[in-house]
Amino acid sequence: MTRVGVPRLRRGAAGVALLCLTTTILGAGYLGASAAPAVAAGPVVAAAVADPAYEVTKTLTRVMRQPDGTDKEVDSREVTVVADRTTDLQGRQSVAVSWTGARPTASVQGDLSSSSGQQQEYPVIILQCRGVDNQVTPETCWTTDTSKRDTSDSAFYAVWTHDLYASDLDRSVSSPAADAWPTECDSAGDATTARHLVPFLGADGTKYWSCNGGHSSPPEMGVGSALPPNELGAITGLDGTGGMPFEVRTSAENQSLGCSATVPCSIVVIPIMGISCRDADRQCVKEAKGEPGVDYSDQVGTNVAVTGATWWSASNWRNRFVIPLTIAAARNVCDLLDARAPLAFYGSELISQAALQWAPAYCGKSDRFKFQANAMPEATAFRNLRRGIATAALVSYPGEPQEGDLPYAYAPIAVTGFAIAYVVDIPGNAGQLTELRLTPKLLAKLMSGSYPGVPLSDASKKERPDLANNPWSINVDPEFLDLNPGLRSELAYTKNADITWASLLSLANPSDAIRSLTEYIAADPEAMAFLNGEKDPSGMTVNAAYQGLALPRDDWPLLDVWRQPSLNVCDADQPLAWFNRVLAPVSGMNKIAQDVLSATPESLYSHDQDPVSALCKFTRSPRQNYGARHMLGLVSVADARRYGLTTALLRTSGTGTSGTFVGPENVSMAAAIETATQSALGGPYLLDQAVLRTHPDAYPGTMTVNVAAALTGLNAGTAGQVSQFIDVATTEGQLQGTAIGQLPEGYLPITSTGATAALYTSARKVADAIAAQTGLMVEPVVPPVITASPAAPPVAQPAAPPATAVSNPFVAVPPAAASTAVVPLTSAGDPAPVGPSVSVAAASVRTDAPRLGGLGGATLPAIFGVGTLGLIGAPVLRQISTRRPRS
Amino acid sequence: MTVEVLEEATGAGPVRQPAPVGAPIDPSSPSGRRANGGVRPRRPALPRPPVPAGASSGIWALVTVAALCGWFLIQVLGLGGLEQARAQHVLYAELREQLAAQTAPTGGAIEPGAPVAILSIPTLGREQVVVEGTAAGDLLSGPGHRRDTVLPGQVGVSLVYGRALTYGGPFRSITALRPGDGIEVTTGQGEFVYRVDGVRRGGDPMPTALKAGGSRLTLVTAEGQGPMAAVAPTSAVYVDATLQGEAVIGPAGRPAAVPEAEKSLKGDFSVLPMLALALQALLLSAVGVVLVRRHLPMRVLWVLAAPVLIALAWWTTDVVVQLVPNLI
Repeated sequence: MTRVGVPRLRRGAAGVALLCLTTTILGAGYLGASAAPAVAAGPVVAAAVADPAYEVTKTLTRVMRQPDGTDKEVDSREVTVVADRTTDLQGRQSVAVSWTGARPTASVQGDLSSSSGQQQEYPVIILQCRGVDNQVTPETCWTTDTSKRDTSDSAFYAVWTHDLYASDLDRSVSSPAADAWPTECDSAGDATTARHLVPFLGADGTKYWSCNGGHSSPPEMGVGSALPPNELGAITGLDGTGGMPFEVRTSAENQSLGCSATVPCSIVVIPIMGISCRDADRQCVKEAKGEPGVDYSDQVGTNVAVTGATWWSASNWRNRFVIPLTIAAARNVCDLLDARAPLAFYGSELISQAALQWAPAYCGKSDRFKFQANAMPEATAFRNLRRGIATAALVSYPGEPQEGDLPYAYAPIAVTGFAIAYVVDIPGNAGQLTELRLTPKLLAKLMSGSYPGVPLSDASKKERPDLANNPWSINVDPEFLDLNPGLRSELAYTKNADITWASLLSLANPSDAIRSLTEYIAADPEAMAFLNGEKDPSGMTVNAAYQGLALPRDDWPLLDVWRQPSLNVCDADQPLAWFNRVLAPVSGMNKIAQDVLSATPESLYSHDQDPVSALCKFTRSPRQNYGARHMLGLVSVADARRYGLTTALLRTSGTGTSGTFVGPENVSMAAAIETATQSALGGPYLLDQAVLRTHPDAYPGTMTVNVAAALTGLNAGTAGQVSQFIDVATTEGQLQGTAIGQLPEGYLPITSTGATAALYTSARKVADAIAAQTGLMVEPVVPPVITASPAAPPVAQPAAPPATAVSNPFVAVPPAAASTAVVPLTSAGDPAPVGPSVSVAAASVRTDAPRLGGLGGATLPAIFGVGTLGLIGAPVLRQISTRRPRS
Repeated sequence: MTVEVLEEATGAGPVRQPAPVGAPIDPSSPSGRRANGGVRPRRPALPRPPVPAGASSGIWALVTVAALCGWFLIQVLGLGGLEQARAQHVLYAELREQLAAQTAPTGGAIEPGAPVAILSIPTLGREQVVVEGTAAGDLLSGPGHRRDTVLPGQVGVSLVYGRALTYGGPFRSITALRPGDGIEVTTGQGEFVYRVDGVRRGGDPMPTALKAGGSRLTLVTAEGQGPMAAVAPTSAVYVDATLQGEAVIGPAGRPAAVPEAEKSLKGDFSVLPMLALALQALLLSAVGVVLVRRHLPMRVLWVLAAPVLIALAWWTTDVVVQLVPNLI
């Protein structure tokens, strides 16, 4: 006997669903087409631009004391420093710092955050320091690298000893003085070698000498520390302008620095002008050795008087800009202040930034509950909801309907989406790329392992004819370069094969974001033609392992198990599929965002013997240097905003390299959400990529996040809490801002007017229905028939052990309608279809016994009838056929 | 076709019976005497013309249909009861052994068709072994436990389906249960006593929520309405019973859903390939009988052919009945 363990979708239901979907698409397309101009013109919340949080202009000078005792100004510049935000900052949040009027940087280096960044001539040093205004001293400023605090040089080059503005101690060859020299730092400065220490003052008052090679640094300090350095020696362009995202650390990341809501901190920006000299020392008065805008060269070298190595010297320090910051209250206050058990919501990672800001608005309030959001794959979350393990799931797509499902409703609480974050430097030290364009086909190429990432050997080409003619990575793909002409360059390093340029850092887990992304790819004929094996104009073909992959899907599989013919001893010994090393997906979008933030790829670049232990080990690609960073990752829009990541513009319409490219902005997300449709009352609003293609101004990565909860079976308290959450999240939780309870950037506010009005209305209705727990939502025109029976839920409480969470099959709400996925609500008067799927108002409180229609029930009488007919018919037929001829 | 061949070969078909033509009246026969008694002698019957070939096959088709329908009814209503009683006997022996050895299933994924519990309803004088699975095929041997619900005795709602009419109709009279009647269930986890809460039909209010840690057993069968109620069940009917005493917890891993064929009042159309095979076998054996018939005397033929044909008809009916909604 054949059995299937999974329920099969009824053909009828599927047919109806298909019909309904088609109608919806057509309808939405029509409506959308007519509504499009209104979106563009409609009132949309403006992105936070134009009004910088910090903008100060100062005149910076470099002065030389003349032999006659007068001061001669050798250089004077009016520098303006701007920061985009300074308040309510969270850990690792980026502040965009930019400046104009500074002296162009010479001897440009690659790694701006290492000590070599400070070795540039006329860099702009950016540091995070504890304290504000005059509390800030070099001692409270953080550097991850001790060599930035411990300066020593032969007395001949020790330009700081000629500093016009320095104190006597700082100007001496040994600071601190030899008799006060800390024992943990080997030797004090003397007449031949000058040495200057800038100790670090910890938040707890500890004084760390932080000298090179000593053991006197705070735990977070050191080149190999857990987090990469956040201090920068940034570059000023030839026009005197520059800008860098600066990553702020809070006490959670750096306890020694200790910035928190109660300990104010600052970003200190020091445009290096060169040391002002008190005498005509030959080294001190020098200008730059290198040409502005030209890379550092060992043959040329630098003049120490104009590098950033002496950022702490009084001459440089007096030119500082102090940008005061306020750090947001720690988001984990709930764990400390509220001992109640949290009501956990499981699911979408897209909501995590909002949840961080929302959670403190719930805990500690007696009329609210302790809210907690836990990220997990949406499908898993919905399964937990169905099993009663979770009270509410956070999902973007409706769960697969199943027989015996309780009726579920979906309340939209956020409009956000996925984004392709990137960190790409323009070749030739021209700064970070601020506009990257991608097409669905390029995404398909990256995700399908169609770029091998390395030049293939002849043996490899023989094994992989499908990859033999492909560009090794996207940086040499003409299609990509046509789209992003700024990356076209004759510099040799830009044409190298690179494993990081060959993949989009993506998710290993199933996720609704992957589903949305693959829907976007699937709706594009070019991308699908490529995936189905069609050759690119440049001769590129899809990786055979991914050819014909069915899209959309909610996970992106690693399908290519090919191993490169032994690259080295280790590969022969412990082979690993090559594309697993290239694609190297990770478990969460937040991880991807942090990787892109620090330009640290996940690709397993090398597989070599450890020099010490002689054991083979895989090594991630190293952190990329400034000037040559190139990384793409799938992130949530909110994470991208929090970390200040640049996000790619995705093609919305058109073909090839022409077309419209749109990034995730509130305006473009609003344009997209206008086209969203709801398939059933209480269902989620879904976007259709086919419709979005007709809206060039709509961001295709837009997604909604919904609270999904059961409409029966929750106890009143829990139902009330879920309902309250939806109410709060869609009202005060939609005010955009950085304060507790507000909506962070990266989300389009859901409001009662404008593009999101329908979502707002739906959320309110669903909140009411969840609070009422009276079963499937119905249009109010059909008065629900409730008997006098107590409004007790018909199934076991979700608190029961998992074994009982199997839903009661005769709550018998029609599965399709319950999940509200694709089947429209049937009205009360509809004829009952065969089987247990009668759908009427308030079905959940009444027994819904399946009935057999037609002959189904009367099988036996029917067979009896047929048999009797045969029994009677045979003699009758004989009688008729042999009737005697009339005589 | 078969029928005609048969007829041609025997020459003894009812249609070919030669009618006596102008037989002389025997004066010694009673009729002759009666004829002598002044009654006008009956005119001798005219010869019946032979049945035309088309009609002949029609008649045989009708007879065959009648025989098949008749057999079907006899089996599902009568012989099926014997089959079910026999299956119960085997299942009981199996479960008894498992209970003694403490290997009876208590949860997780249980093979469909395996015995899981003994259900005893003293009021109705019924004792049945409950098997796992509620597809029509499982219910041939006894009441079936729906696979996506907990086992009886465990925390939660447990569903047991049973046939109302055919194959012994183990749940024929459960609608006669009254609130308070006891139902005893024995599983690998012990003996559990349920008390009936009531009979529930479509449109009735749902039972009240289970208390946390409570257990409910719901028996499901079908019943008819109107004059044909006894022979044509058309809608599902439920009997709810609540556990008296402590419920137990079973191992996890129960299926989260069941195929369509295991839901109430559904036929199992996955048996269609099997049905094709069964009908083929029946047809082949019938042809075989006809062919062998030329060489064997009638009596020998019947002795040889009848068991084969009956066995195949039995098998075919067991398959056909799975297409019929499972609770009937």
